[in-house]
Amino acid sequence: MKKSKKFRFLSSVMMAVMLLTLMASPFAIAAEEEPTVLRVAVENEPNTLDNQVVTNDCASTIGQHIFETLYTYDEDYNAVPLLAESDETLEDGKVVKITLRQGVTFHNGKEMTAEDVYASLTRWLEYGSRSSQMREYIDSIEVEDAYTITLNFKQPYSPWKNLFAFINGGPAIYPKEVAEAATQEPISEDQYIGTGPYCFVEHEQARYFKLEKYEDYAARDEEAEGLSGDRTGQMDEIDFIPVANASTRINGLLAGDYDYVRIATSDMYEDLSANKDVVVSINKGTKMPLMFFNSKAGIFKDNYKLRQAVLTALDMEEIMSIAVGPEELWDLNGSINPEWNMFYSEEGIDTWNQADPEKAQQMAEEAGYQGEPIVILINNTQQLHVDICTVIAQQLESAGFNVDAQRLDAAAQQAKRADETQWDIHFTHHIFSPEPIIYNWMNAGYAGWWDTEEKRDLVSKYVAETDPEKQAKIWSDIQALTYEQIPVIKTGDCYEFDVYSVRLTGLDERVPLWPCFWRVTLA
Amino acid sequence: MLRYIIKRVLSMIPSLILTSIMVFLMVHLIPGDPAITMLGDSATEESIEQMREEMGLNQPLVNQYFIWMGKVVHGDLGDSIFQNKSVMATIADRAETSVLLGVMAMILIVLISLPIGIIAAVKVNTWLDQGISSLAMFLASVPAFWLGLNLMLLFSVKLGWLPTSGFPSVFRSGDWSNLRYLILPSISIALPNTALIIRMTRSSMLDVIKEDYVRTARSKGLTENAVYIKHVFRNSLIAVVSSLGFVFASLISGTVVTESVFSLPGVGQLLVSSIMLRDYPVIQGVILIIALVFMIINLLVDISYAKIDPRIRYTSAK
Repeated sequence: MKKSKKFRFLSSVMMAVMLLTLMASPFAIAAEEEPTVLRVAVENEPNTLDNQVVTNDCASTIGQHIFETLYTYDEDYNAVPLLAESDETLEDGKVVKITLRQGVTFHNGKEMTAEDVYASLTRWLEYGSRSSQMREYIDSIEVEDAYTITLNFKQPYSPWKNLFAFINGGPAIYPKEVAEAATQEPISEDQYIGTGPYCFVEHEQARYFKLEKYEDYAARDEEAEGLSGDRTGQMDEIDFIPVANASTRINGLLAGDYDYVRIATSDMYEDLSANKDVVVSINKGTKMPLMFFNSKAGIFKDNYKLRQAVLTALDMEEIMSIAVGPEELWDLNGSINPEWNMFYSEEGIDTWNQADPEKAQQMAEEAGYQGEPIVILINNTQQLHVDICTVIAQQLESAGFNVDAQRLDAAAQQAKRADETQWDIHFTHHIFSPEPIIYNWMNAGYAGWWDTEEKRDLVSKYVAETDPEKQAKIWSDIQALTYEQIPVIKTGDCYEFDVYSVRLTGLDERVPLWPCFWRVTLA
Repeated sequence: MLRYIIKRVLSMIPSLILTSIMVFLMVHLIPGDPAITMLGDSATEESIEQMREEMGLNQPLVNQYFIWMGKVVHGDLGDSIFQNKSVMATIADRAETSVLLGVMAMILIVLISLPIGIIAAVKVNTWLDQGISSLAMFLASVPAFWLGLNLMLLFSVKLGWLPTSGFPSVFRSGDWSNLRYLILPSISIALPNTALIIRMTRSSMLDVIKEDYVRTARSKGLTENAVYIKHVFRNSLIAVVSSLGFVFASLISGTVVTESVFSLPGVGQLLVSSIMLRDYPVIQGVILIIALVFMIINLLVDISYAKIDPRIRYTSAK
C-alpha cells in the first residue's frame, strides 16, 4: 500500500516534469501563421466599433476597414468621394445634392441605397459624437431616388463634406435596419455590417478583432492614395490584437508575433530607427497637447488677461523636449493646424512660447490673481499628459502660480470636468483634423464651454463661406481670437510613430491619422 | 467533518454580504460615471441623464444595492455595461487564462520551492543554506514586470522559443499546445512566490526539528532521510500548505502586472479595465467571485490539515 502511494507520487511528479518539458520544447511551437494573415498589435481595446458614436482612435483604425463614409481624405487631407459618386451645391450652399455610387453592397449582400444613407445620417445627426454642430444647421434630409439624397440647410453650411469624411465619430454608413434600430448606445457586434473591404468576423475580448476580406467589395476606380481610391483588400485576414504594454508590442514585433505595431513610446525611437528588421513610420496626423480653461466658472472665467499670463509663463520648447524627447517627434508650432495644411496660420501666435515667468507674474497680478489654487485635471493613464503637466506645473509655479495638479484616471477626469465648479484647467490632446471647426473648443458644449459673441460671429461666417481661400482667412481670424480669449493653449505638435516588419509593403511613408491596411501585402 | 464543512460554508454568507456592501460602496463612491464614459465628452447633458436613467444609476444607492443583491442571490451577477453580455459570461471568458496560469505557476512553485526549502533546512547554516536564502531574497525582490520583460527578451526575441504575448483559448480551440503562451508568464509569477515558499518550508522544518519526537525518531536509529521526510517535512507541511493555499488563491484571482506585460486575457486585466470604464456590475461581480475563491480555497486548506496531520479532528463546538 505504501509502495503504491509512493509510486503514485513519483509518477505524478514525473508527469508534471514531462508536461512542462514538452511545453517548453521548441518542437511544441505551432506552425507559422498563414502568410495571408496580417497581425496588427493595437494600443488598446475599443469597447465598440460603432464609429458614429465613438471617438477612440483605435476604433477608427479598425472600423474604417469595415465601415465607410460618403467621403474620405486623399493624401493631402482633401475630402474626396468614397461612397458618394458626386455632389452638387445649390441655392448658394443651402442645398446639397449627393449622388451615390451604384452597385456598392453591404457585407450582408444587400445593395446600399439612399434609404440606408438617410437612416445612417439621421441616426448620426441625433446621436453622433461629432454631429452636434451640424445639427444646428441642418433643416432636413430627403431621399430623392434610390441613389440620390438631398441635404437642406437652414443657412449655407460648408463643413458638411469634411464632416462626412471624418470616420472618427462621423457618419459611417450602416444598413437601414441597423441605423433605424440604433440609439445613443453603440450597436452590438452582430450589427457590424458595412461596405468596407473587410468584414467583421469575431471579437474575442482581450484577444483580437478578426476581419476577413470582403470578396464582393465594390472598389473605386481611382488609384489608391492616402485613405482614398481603390480600397480592395490584399490580405485574406487582418487580426487586430490589443496589447496595452508598448514594450510587449515591440518585443512581439521583433519576435515575429506581430507584423505591425501601433504607437511605440518615444524612448524607443532611436533604437528602433537603427534596427534594420523594422520600419519606423511617423504619423502624419499631429497630436496637439492642450490645456482647456474653464470659461464657465472659477478664476479664469472672463479673465483673458490671467489666461494670457499663463501662456506667457510657458516655455514650450522645454515642455516638448522633456516630455516627448527625440526632436523628430515634435514641432514647435503655435498654429492650430500644421504648416502643410491649408488652415495653417500665424495669426496671433506671437504671444505663444514666450517663456517669461517675470512678465507672467506681473500680468497675473494686473489680472487680479492673488495666489488662489489653480486646479489642473490630468489623466494619469496618458503618460504624455502626465509628463507635460509635470513641466507645466513647475513652470507655472516659477511664475508665482499656486498649482493644484490632480492626477485622475480617465473616467474620473471626465466626470470631474463635467462639473464646472471642480476645476480651472483640464489637460487633454486632440488629433489633427482637416476640418478645424470640429475641434472640441469650438463646441460650446464641451468642457471649457467657450461661447463668446465674437466666436459665434466668426463661426457663423466660417460655416457659411464656400470659397476655401476665404474660409481659410476666416479661420485665421478665429485663431487670432483663440489667442486673444485663450479658451485653450496648445503646447506644440507631437507625432506618434508606428513600427512594422520590413516584410510589409503597401504602406505610405508616413502613416495617415488612422493607418489603413487594405493595400498591405506581406512578403 | 461534514458538519464542520457545512458550518464553514454557512459562515461564508455573512462574509460575502459584507464584501458585497464594501465593494458596492467603493465602486459607487469613486469619481466617474459609466454614462459619461460610454457616451463621451460630446454627449449632451440630456442624453447622459437618459443613459443614467436606463442604467438605473439615478435611483438611491440603497435601492441599487438591493436590486443588485436580489439578482446575485439568484445567481445572476447582472450584465456588463460595455460588453453586451452577462457578468458571469465575461468572467468565465477570463477564468480560463487565470486558472491555467495559476495551476502552471503552482506546479512550478511546488516543484522548485519544496525540495530547495528542505535542502536549506537540512543544510542549515552552511554555505548552501546561505546561498539559497540569498537567492530567495533576490527572487522575492525582483519586480514582476522586469522579470517578465527580460524573460520575453531572452526566450522569445533572442531565442525564438516561445511566443511573446497573448493566449489563444485552449478549450475553444482544443489545442493544448497553446499552453506554451503561459510558460513565460507562469515562470515570472512563480519565481517571486517560490522565494516565499522556500523560506516558509525552511523555517517550518527548523521549528519541527527541535521537537521531542524528532529526537525520539533519531534515537530509534532511523536514517536522517527518513527522519526529515517522514517526521520533519510532513509535520511542517501545515504552515506550508496554508501559504500555498493563499498563493494559489492570489494567482487564480488575477495577476495584474504579469497579465499586462504578457497581454493575457485574465481576470486581473478584466478587473482593471472594468475599473477604468466604471463598469460597475463587472467590478462588483469579479470582486465577489474573488472573495468566494479565497474562502473556498481557505476551506480546502483547512480540510487538508486533517489529511496532513491525523491528530487534527474537526468537530462542532459544544
